[in-house]
Amino acid sequence: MTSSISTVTVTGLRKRFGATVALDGIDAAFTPGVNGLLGPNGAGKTTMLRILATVLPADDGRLEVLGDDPSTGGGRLTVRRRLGYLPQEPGFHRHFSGFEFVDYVAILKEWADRKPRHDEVRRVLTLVGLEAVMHKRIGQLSGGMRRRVGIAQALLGRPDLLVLDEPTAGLDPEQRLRFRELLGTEASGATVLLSTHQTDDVAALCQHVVVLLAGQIRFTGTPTELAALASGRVWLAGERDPGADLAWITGEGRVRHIGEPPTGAQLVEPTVEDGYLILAGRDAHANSEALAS
Amino acid sequence: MTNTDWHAPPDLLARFAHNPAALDDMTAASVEAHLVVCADCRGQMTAAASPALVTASWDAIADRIDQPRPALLERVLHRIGVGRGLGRLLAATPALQGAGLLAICVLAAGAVVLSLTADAEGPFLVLAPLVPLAAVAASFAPAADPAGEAGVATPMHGAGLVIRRAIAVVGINFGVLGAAALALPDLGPAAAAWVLPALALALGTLALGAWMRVEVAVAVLSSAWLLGVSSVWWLAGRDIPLADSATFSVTGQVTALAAAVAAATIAAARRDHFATLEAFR
Repeated sequence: MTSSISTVTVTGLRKRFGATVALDGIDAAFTPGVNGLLGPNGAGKTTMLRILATVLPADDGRLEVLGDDPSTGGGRLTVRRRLGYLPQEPGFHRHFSGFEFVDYVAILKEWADRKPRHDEVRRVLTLVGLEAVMHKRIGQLSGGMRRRVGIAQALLGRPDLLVLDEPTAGLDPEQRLRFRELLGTEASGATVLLSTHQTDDVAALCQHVVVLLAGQIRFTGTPTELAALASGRVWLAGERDPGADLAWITGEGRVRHIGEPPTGAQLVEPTVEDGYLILAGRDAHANSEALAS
Repeated sequence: MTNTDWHAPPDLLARFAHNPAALDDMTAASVEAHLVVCADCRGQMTAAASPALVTASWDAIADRIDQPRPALLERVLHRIGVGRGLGRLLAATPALQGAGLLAICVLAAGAVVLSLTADAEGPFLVLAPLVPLAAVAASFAPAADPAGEAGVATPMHGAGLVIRRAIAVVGINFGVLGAAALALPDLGPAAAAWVLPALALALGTLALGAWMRVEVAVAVLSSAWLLGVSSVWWLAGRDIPLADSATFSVTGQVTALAAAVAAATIAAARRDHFATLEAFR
């Protein structure tokens, strides 16, 4: 955690869906900069981001977002005026063009005057590299392009708080790099909360990372501190140790082990992914392999 | 384009580039006509114009090109004084788009045909209130807003937008049903006896939608309406025309008005519910 003043704090946050506990007493604080939420599917990341983005009420707990309480009508309105939100599934109107969709969201964001609104719509669509296809119907765009339309609408008006649920899902490596650059310039000074399954995104982007498992926070700190959890526990060997809990073949054809050292193995520097796997264990590894495939 | 032997003086081109309105109409028209055919003068004029002016000109052209063509309903709403932005938000309501409007017209026509077949207003009076009920429900159903979940996190989202959309939907529904009612066999005051029940059911959808899924609210209200009308008619002995039953009498109308007021009060008290995703279950 940095020494900056927290712009988003949650205390005792709880949310249930029927018998399922999505968030089980979350305490967290986020500061300006990029904050990453890591966790396997069903860990509660999307629920937490939805609550912070004011689209879902919490069952219990206290929230303070940009100095306001979003559980009240006035607080929610104030937060929404300073918020950009990319949902996991934006639910595009397929008959709209990218321009029409972002323009529509801009109207919902109270951009009443047409000329400055259209200028802003063009600006954000250009930022995400869609200037050449902004008048194509969304239904004709690729999945990656649709994701970028979603990112563009979230950037409208340079919000103070950006809540991005899996922003890099569906983006190719070049687009992911462009997105990282974009956040560096466009979200400078803002508080960014993003969830991702990509641990390399966390390493490249985030100053602060939170690991959520089964609705509870299991780690909070910097990516370096997350990687350090696996310090002295990551090994490269020629063959898989039959007793290993977490082991997989790397691109170089060697077997990366996390945990006890296999015979003749070489100790290596841990990554953010190693630290995350130490926390999340086999389920997260299986999950990340399924996502990668 | 071809070049010509004559070229416009540089100072004239500079004045035209910076402010064509400062020239008299004849001179401005001549320069404009000449620029169309003379590449040299176009080049000179571009060089004379400041980069900011060129950028502003391109911005203005791009803005005109990018401007989405307003839908027919959006243009109509603008004509009657609704702002462009709000008009766009209302026109995007599914119940007010092509398929939704067609469905309303088909349902209204179906109710009229049933009444004409029976040679009585009864079928129309019973079925007409169900049309806006379904349309209002569709205006805040899960897929109602084209911006989906991203739209929920915006300042305009909430009870205000839901109510404006409901008013637009009810207004258009009432217009269509009112026009359809002109085809009924008897155009007496009884032909308007569907209005207050329709209003009560539409507002009831908003009120009940604060507690249950909107589809369930529609099922509950439409079943209650059909059951209530049938029961009242049955208890009256079944030997009177449906249109003459107590449901469509003064007592029935007062009851419908009271139900509408109660539903509006409940919906207003639960308005906070419409601000989040919970209302889009």
